[in-house]
Amino acid sequence: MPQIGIFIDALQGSIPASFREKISDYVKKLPGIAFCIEEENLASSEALNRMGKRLEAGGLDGVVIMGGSPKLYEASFQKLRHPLPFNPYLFAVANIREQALWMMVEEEAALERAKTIISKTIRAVSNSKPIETQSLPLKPEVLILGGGVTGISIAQELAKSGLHIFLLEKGNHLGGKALELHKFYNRPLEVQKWMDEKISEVKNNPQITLFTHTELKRLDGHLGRFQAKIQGPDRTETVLSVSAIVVATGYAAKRETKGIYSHKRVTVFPEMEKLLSETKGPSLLWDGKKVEMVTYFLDGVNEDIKVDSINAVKQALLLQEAFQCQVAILCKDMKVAADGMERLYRKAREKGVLFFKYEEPPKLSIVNGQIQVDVRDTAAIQKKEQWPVSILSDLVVVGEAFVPAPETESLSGLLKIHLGNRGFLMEDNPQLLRVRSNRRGIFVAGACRFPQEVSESLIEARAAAQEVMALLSKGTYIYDLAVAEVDPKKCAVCYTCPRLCPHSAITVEKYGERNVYIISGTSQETKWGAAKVDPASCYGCGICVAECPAKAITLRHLTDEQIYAQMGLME
Amino acid sequence: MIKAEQKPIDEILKYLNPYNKILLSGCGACVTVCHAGGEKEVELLASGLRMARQKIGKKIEVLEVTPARQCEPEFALELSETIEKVEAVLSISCGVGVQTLVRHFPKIPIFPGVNTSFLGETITHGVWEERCQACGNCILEKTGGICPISRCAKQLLNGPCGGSSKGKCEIKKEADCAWQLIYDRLKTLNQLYKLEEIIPAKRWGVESRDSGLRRIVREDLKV
Amino acid sequence: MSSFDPKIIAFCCDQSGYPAADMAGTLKLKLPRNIEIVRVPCAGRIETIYLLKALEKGADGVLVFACYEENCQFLRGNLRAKARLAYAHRMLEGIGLEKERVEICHLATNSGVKFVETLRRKSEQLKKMGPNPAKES
Ligand SMILES: Cc1cc2nc3c(=O)[nH]c(=O)nc-3n(C[C@H](O)[C@H](O)[C@H](O)COP(=O)(O)OP(=O)(O)OC[C@H]3O[C@@H](n4cnc5c(N)ncnc54)[C@H](O)[C@@H]3O)c2cc1C
Ligand code: SF4
Ligand code: SF4
Ligand code: SF4
Ligand code: SF4
Repeated sequence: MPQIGIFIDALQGSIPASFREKISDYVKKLPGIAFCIEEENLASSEALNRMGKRLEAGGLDGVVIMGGSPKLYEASFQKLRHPLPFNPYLFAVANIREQALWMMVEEEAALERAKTIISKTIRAVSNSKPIETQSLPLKPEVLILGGGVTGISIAQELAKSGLHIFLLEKGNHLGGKALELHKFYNRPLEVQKWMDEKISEVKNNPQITLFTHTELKRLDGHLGRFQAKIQGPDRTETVLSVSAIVVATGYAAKRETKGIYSHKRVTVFPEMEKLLSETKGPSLLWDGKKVEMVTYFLDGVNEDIKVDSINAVKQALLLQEAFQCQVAILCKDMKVAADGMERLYRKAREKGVLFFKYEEPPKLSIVNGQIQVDVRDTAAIQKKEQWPVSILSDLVVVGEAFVPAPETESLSGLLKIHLGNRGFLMEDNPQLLRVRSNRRGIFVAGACRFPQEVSESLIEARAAAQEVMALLSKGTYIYDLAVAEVDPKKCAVCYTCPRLCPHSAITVEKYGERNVYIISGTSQETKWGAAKVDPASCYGCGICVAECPAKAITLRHLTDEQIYAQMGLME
Repeated sequence: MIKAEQKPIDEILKYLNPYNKILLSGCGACVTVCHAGGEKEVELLASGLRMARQKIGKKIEVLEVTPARQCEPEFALELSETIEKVEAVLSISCGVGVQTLVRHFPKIPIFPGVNTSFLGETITHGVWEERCQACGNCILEKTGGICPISRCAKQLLNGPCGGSSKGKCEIKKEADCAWQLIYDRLKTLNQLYKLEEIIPAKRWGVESRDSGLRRIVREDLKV
Repeated sequence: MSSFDPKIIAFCCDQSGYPAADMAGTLKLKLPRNIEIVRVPCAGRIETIYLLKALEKGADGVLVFACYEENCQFLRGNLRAKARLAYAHRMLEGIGLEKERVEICHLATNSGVKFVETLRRKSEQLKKMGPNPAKES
């Protein structure tokens, strides 16, 4: 008969003494109870210390805390990181406060309910086994995919903290889309100069190994032991072994070319940036003619016009101030949510940039080699005052569609990370874990997640670098083996679990190098064609366990028996 | 591999009606992979059967077992002792497994619990499609690796028929026309010339089941 | 029939259902008497067989408390739970049991009120339906 020790939480004002007394009378009569004592505020570090002293004596198979919600105690165990002389998985909490005392109308019923909860909890803990902690060595090596401003910035940050970085760029130079920019909207720097400095810093940093013209071909392994096969120029292949991976592969821009969009007086933001950076003189020339009237049309291609709004206002100010152009910006709704944009927008208005807000999309037509833009301005409150406006423009600037980079989908397949709804890479949890992917050890940052401008990318880069450092700084990843485990002898290799694991923690590598099992009862190693959970990558959700048609998977810390015990179904 | 689908439980209940103690046997191979008859399905069906019979006041005892493969005599014979204890067996392996039990346990009623549907492949998780009808003389070499016997509604050997439309089959509008697939594939492989060769009628009566039970005998393997 | 107190097994996902149950307690909301709460890390851990075994071994109804769709900590745990419920419903229909005996309720950590109301409603519904005729006697 397993011996169980019981602590009743005597926190002031929590469970009344009379109730505790009845509980303790009941418990003491149960078989296999080693002791049943009260402790003041069990979630405090002092109480944990006293509890630890009690447990040092040994001889127990499990411990039950009777008190409030298990979340309370679990949080304090975590927070205090208390090294109790007892395996934490042999603890169970009987939640007799929230789920009995406070939930029942009469005390009688509450007591009955508490008793049931207690006996279920004792049964569950009697069926528990200690769960070991393991540590996985993590080499200070990181692979970054994508040499745009995000990838570069992450590499710089990580190199500072002593990690070695492999920076992979599929093109022949670093810089990405930021190279198309001339000025920042919110900083007085020349983008090119700033980028050049960053790029040369990266190139000369001994902590950073740079691969250009190189692509990821295959990825095996998991956190701490990723094996990335990369292919460089001349199809040379190299295998890098890294602890973590950051994906910063950016976005692609697609230019609309149908109809009037192909007219030579319709252009896009990057070309305008280029023109602005190359023109030195007092006036701007386009197709050999002086440009006086420029119209920006924002909602034509992108639904989310955050980035286009920033660019339009930024360029409009330059055009008005440096080149004496008249600028009109047409949009459904101006988006000024970005940092400092409100101010910039006000400045643009003051400088005479015209803003037209419309409901019906403007009509573009060609008049005498210029583009005439017809729009009904809805800024007036009265409908009848909403005058139609015609703007004869030398140049119309439209956005390009932000779309996922062409390899995004295949990359998500290679890396086994999730795509979001519009085909961009998806974070694990938009609120909490912005730059973590669904796989432990793989991070996603920058415009591969959603269209963004450089300041946002820099924030993402910093966040990703911090996450990577938090993961790798200790040199080991310590985790409990509270994970799913496949019995290779029962596995029918149906591929259900690798398909369904949300964290891509399961692989089947039939006849591969990695699925080496020890034949039970011997020390003989065998390569087994069976699914295998990587314990350091498993989050313990139990989805695979429930789906396996062969019942080959066990969740080590929450077995069928423990669930049936909670259901009150164990004899 | 073999794909199967669970039979409606009311049908199973009907033929189990006279029995009060049965063995429910799954199979650890094909039917596990297609989620029709593995250990998990055994557990679920057993629970359903017990509840159904409890409900009408006629309890049934269900022993549960899932041999690795029901269609091998050794695995089947492992069930001997258990089968002696029951009045009937419900097998949710494919029809082959059912008959393996029938051959080895001639005195006890043995019922199928699944419909063995076809030889197919997994399209995506939870979706399977027929790919082969075990015709006995494979012609995939001539058809770009796409089987018209299993995938063309009319089993045409020299298709397509006049009904093929926009790549879809006229009989099952949601299915791809097999002959369109064959054409596309041969085109990709630069082997359209293969279509010029007329595939002769299959000798159904010799190679296929029309002339009765088929059997493979490998003299070199026999012991 | 008035003495019939339906037994409900309530599976609670640790990301939403369980904290909601705690919240209900903290708000001192009163629960029907005969309820077993089962704590699971994610609704995705709840196997179809648990839903059936619950009924087979004595419950009159089963409730699964899971996160709102698209809000699962583990991406698709709640969707898998929902799909398993659909399987269980098919089975119950096949054996002539009311499929309302097994239900899923999506909620958030702070849905203490919804938690209790759902259980109360289920308890009332089961009272009308009567005891589960398929449970082991
Ligand atoms: C869904 C469908 C749609 C089609 N549409 C068209 C179309 O639009 N145009 C077209 O030209 N063709 C079409 N065909 C093909 C056409 O139907 C066949 O080519 C034609 O029916 C073949 O005729 P048959 O007499 O050779 O064989 P079947 O029609 O198959 O007849 C064979 C008969 O023999 C019987 N039989 C089998 N074995 C034995 C035995 N041992 N002893 C005694 N009897 C036996 C069978 O029961 C059957 O009645 C279609 C076929 C299908 C399946
Ligand atoms: S689901 Fe089960 S049988 Fe299928 S691969 Fe995973 S462990 Fe093996
Ligand atoms: S428990 Fe969850 S995270 Fe772990 S292997 Fe299974 S499905 Fe993946
Ligand atoms: S031709 Fe015959 S053997 Fe080949 S795949 Fe088709 S049915 Fe199977
Ligand atoms: S449409 Fe195609 S698949 Fe359908 S019967 Fe005709 S040839 Fe066969």
